[in-house]
Amino acid sequence: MATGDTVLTDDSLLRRPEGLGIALTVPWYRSLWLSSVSSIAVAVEGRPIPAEDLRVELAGRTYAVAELPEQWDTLWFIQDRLVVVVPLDEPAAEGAEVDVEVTVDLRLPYMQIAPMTYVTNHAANRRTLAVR
Amino acid sequence: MSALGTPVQGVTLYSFTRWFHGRRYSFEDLVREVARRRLGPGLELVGFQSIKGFPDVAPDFVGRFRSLIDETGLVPTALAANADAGLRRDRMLTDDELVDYMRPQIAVAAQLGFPVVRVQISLTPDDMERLLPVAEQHGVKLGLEIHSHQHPKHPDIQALLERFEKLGSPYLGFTPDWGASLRAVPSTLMRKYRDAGIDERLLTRLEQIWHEHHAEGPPLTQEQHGRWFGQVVQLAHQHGASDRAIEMAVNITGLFGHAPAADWADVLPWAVHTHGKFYEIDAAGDEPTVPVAEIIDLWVRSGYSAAISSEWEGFHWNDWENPFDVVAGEQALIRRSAEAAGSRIVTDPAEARGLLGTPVKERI
Repeated sequence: MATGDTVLTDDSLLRRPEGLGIALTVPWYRSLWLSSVSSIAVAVEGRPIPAEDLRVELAGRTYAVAELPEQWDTLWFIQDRLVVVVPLDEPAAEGAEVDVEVTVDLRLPYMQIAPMTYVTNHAANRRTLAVR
Repeated sequence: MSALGTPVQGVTLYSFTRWFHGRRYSFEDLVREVARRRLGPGLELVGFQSIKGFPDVAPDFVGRFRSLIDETGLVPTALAANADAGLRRDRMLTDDELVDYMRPQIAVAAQLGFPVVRVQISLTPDDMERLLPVAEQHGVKLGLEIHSHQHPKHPDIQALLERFEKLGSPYLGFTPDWGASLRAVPSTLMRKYRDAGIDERLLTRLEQIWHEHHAEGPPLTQEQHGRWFGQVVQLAHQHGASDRAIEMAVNITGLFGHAPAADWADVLPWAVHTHGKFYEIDAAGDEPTVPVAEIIDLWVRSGYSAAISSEWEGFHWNDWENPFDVVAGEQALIRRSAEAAGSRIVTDPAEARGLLGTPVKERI
């Protein structure tokens, strides 16, 4: 499995007053419950952003990354985008080219390999994209 | 000897994941494109892929879907459900919860006109027995998928077979997935790894180890599969590909199964649907990794006349080929193989509907 290259799309980078929004596609073939997201890591211009500084938005709700594993009743539909909001000292301007790397680790809830152990999917994608 | 089967041609939208994912197609446009390119008549969907909010479908979706089916002339074959036993982090779902999790997915399949629901190995023989009244109520068959690294001779599958034989219901059966019976590692995956700069010696070793496992035969225990998995992880670490280790192990030991095609004979009388899994079509029109001709010969001789969904999984790494073209290539190979076996593949929608049937709601 190697759907990692689908996490970021050409239109992933969004202007946000807090810094930068990054729209992510679920790196799997189907919608998954947010509880399947084990972790999201972001680096901007090669600089890792602490996970506790990130906010995740889906369908009008906002979560900390650490809260995602508890969200077993919220679906991340494969044509919807999860927006990770990254705080930056200087918000990224429209048209600016920004180098971002996003890593999403999933736990696949129907592929159990041992009691309470599930197949994982590790998706890492690094691209330089224009902010929209 | 039973009469020769006439399988129904079809496709699962799973084959087009990359383009649906990337929003190149809406759901409706994807279904229309399948019809326009004559990749039906059979149409399979993954509920959690195609339908937003599944299994809580929007009230107007059922009507819109039925209109789309009327418009395109396609024939619903199977709705793929998921048994997400690991939904929660703190514990696995109980058997009651898992059965309840499957219930609405089965109900939606019937509403949409699918005669079969693909279910998954997380369901035990007891779970299947408990779901039988649900299947009967909605008039849809449950086809438990036999997917690599499982295979027809695996003890878990044999236990299900035993239960199906005991219960003797037409509503319980299997969905064989041809990925359990590969004969080689897809060259397109090796190409992708090579392009990504993976050490050539590692690629050689990955193929070698797959063939060593192949000689050992399909795994019968969790320990055996775990050992194989560990071997691949270790190889990746040794060759500087630690970040790809799990992915490589899932691919090499999880996707590309080792069951001889003949092993399917046991379960074929219980097959209610088929995933015609494939990875690539070569210049000669053959599938180098799946022995399609041998498999079709067996399917036809067993009297199989349900649907075969062409299921292209190469999209996970292959972003350079057109998924519609590769599906057309596999379907041509399947048709040729059926003719060589003295039968044919059904492509006429009316004949397909007659063979597959439609859900009979509220029978009981």
